[in-house]
Amino acid sequence: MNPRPVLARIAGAYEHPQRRITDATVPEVIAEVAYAALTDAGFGPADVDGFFCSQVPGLGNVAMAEYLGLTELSYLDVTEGGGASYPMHVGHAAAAIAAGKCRIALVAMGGLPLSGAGWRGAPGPEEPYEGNVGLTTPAGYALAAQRHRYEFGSTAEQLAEIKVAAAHHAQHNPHAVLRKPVTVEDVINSPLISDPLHRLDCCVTTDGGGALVIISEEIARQHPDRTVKILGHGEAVSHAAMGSIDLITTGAARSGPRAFDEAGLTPADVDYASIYDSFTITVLLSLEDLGFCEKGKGGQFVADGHLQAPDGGLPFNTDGGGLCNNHPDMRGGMIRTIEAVRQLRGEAHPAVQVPDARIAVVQGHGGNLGTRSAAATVILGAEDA
Amino acid sequence: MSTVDLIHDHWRRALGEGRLELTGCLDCDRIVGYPRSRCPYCMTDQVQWRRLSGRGRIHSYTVNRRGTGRYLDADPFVIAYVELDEGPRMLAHIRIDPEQTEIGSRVEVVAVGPDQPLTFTPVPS
Repeated sequence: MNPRPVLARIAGAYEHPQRRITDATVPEVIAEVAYAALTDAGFGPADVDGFFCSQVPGLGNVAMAEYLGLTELSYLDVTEGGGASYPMHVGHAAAAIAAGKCRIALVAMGGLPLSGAGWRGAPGPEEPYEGNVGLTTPAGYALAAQRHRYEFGSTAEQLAEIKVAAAHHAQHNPHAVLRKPVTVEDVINSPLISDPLHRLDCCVTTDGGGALVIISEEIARQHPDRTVKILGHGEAVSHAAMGSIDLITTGAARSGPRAFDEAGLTPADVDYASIYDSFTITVLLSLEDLGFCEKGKGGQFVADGHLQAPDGGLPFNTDGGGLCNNHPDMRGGMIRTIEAVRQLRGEAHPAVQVPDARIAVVQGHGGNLGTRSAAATVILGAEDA
Repeated sequence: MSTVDLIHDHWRRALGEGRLELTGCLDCDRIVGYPRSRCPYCMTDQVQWRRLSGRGRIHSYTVNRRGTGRYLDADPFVIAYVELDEGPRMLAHIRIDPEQTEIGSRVEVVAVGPDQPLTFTPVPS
């Protein structure tokens, strides 16, 4: 008899025995069922590398991953399909496992509609402890910048070079919000928002959006227009877990190697970089974590126009980035990806087109580097790469 | 609408009396910050409140000059990660002149009301 092909297997299962719960929070219910299913399967939180969980309070499943002690994640999914969400997650987990993206996936859900405390409007699990601190997004990133300055001596001027490079590119983008070139002095003389970050260290806020169409190799064979190859991908989650936040290392330190390994490439192969630039410090930390320079040397790396197209050592964010061009819905990863596609198709503005751009890296971050965040790296190649 | 959160209630009561308490696991003995009703290392619900020294040092800080919400019109204020002597790094306010704040300096917890953040003050030297 022929064996059936198997996508993946279910090794643990648990249903909460109660039907009305009055002595627990939503995160506590999710922890109870998640831990019981893990116990049934013979694993613990540190074994889980794929997490599938939709509609939980706070920063979706990043906050829930922190609460549960999931420290080794390489794949996340927050698919929301109402009641269909969980069979969808099963399929997505199986596909991720079959693609080698993770090996031990946790799919979890929970809610308390009878208490009125379901996922709509419920606070994240960390909210009671952090919610009244008044940590704005800039303040969180500032905590990272301040620690990096303390450990490595990076300066305000070095961070400013990142904005200078983005603004240098944005002058060629008719759609960019901020098109005027700026100097290092302009940046460090702009008002402090949350020390040590100045206003010009921070990205713009915009409406708008973006979309991509991604096709199979089979469709690509029949597709007449130029395509861009997706060569590698990696994800990671960073959080404080049990109170051990690392402010100077982002998830890119794990998502980057995963993506480069899958692509069979290294940072030395990269011609163009789209690096998430919610703040200048986000770029500096990402460049270190992706391996373009050693940890702590990001300040020196970005000096002297190194990020400027077309002649710099690593042209970056040639559309102007989130710092100058666009950051729709406060989530800039789509626009970062689109500029990388332009560069690899040779469709960037001529003044900033990297000659013979063949390999690009896209680095995204979400959440707050000062508390908890998701990171994703994608390696793209030109059609003839 | 609110839900019962016994862990947070205990944390708040202790802070109201100037006591910093976190949950520790009876099986693996590890302390967790922020507290939880189950151990995120070994998953047991056998956790116990531990009273901590209330002391630590500033691991990083920022001076928030553009507060939002309840801090919209506040003067610049210091937010820090305090690395407790027992290990965990926790987000908190420091009652200090922003210009005098330094990474590495010693701080101790102060009693705060139910709506206030975890707050520390410099240890007098």
